Amino acid sequence: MKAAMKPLSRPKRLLLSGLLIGHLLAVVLPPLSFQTRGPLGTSPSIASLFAWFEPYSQGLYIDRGYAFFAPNPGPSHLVQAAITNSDGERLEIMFPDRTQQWPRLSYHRHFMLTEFLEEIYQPPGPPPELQKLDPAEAQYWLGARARYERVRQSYIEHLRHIYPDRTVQVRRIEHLIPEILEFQQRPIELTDDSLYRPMLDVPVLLELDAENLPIAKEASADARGGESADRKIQTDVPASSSAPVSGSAPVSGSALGESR
Amino acid sequence: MTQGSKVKEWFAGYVDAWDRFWFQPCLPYTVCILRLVVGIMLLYSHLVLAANLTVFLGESAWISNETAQQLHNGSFGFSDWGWSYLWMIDSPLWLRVHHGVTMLVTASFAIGFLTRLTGPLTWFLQLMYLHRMTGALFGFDQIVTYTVMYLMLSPCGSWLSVDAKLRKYFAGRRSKSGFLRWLLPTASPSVGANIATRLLQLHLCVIYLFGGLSKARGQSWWDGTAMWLSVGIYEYQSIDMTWLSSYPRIFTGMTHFTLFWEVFYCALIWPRMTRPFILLGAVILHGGIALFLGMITFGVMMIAANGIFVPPELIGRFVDRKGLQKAGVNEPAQSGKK
Repeated sequence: MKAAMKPLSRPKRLLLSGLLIGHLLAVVLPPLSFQTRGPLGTSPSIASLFAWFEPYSQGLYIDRGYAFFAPNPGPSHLVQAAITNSDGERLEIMFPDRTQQWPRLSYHRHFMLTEFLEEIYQPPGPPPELQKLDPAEAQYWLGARARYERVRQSYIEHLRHIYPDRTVQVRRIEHLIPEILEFQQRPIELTDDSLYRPMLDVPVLLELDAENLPIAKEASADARGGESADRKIQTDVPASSSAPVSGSAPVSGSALGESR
Repeated sequence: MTQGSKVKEWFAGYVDAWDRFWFQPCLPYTVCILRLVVGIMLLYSHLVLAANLTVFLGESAWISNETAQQLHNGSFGFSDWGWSYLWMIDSPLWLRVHHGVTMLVTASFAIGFLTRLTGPLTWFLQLMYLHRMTGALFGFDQIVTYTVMYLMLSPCGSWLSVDAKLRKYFAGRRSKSGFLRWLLPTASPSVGANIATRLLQLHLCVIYLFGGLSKARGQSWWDGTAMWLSVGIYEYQSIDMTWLSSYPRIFTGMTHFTLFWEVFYCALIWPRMTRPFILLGAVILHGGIALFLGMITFGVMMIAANGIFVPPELIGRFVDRKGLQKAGVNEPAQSGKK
């Protein structure tokens, strides 16, 4: 190849090489940090190294985990809303909805919003025992819960803006995937009522005794991971109900409804 | 030869290989085609957003301005370095004006109009949208943004562009002005085109490696049921593929192919012998995602991004033989070699 341009000088090549290595580290370290995260936190060596590049990675939006459909493809999470006017007439809607959000890109953004609410979910708490055992973790719990409540409230306010002078209640719904062996024996529609479950919003201690506190702490660590990674997780929400719910099931008047 | 000189020779060879990998000038044909595709995809994304602007931006959006800001600024104990001035724009009118300007800039980038300026501007505006739209983003937003980020480092507007026409029109003035030569570059080999190509290539390797490694932690990617679980998610479905449940050998085979293809992509994409097969795998995998899992934009964009591994000389030989000769390229690609 006969290149018309002069080759770069050595100082320029050195400078560019340094910048390129720095950028590549900022690309590699976020997913590495995500993968090296365990119950004890992130691997200290990776965490220390990543701390240097975090501002750059986050500023450029390259701080992603790339864990698409991993570690396992899991159930979807939807948001169901009940909108009631002063006469008591109620409209129930579910998000995302292909018939309402079009084109597909718009639908998918709505789907990501409902998944986001699930990702950042933190049960009410923290349990009083945790306050004594690990005050820092308890503080983290409070922050994570406040974040979840703020985002949920924002969704409610958005719906109130669309439907003024009405009461809005929302709840999270989990849409399960049929088990393969059951589906082979008895195929059902993916929209079958039995595959939809409301997600309870109750304090963990209602379900767990003091001996189970480590599980509560683990759930908290999961919520932290959801902040910077686009993973599709099988959310282990301890309080999910096994009671089926149809698309038209009432939202209000139940302990499941989360409203403001 | 002494031990010391052997080490010196080894080191010099290593430096030489590094220099060739990063700083050997390369033709801009691949990045120019990619600019056209990513520009159109990003414009489409902005167009869809325009129809739902206040649903995703502003004070009454799903995630309001204040909430979006709080998700980044440490209000809940979690802060990051993401920042967007869009957190501060409440007025629907100003949001529409801003979005109109964004679409104009993005369209200019797509058609290659003043690309040296509209490239960085397109990327910056997109970044502002990303930090504002926390919670509503997915893989498509990532790959589009990264591609624009790398393309803006290259003369991606030098071919198939308005800039190429302007270059001819202002040929006389361009020869006397350094600024015009920078603004309207020729479609000749450049270090910028090579650096942009390498950065996107390596970023794709990182995406697939960690995509594969994270899947390898899940049981369903090993027992083969992950593909069933994927087609069983109704919210992703665009074509009903649940009939696959009757063919376990097919869906488990697809699962294993996906896992191994992602894990080994970063190694097998470089040798010329395996590259075509890996690229074919990309078309099959992302084509499947586009057609069956409802993510057309993501699938198309990932296939396009994989096009960065197509040597520009190969494109030149098919579509711009005259330009190739003018640039002094007579031999097949060197830039594709590791």
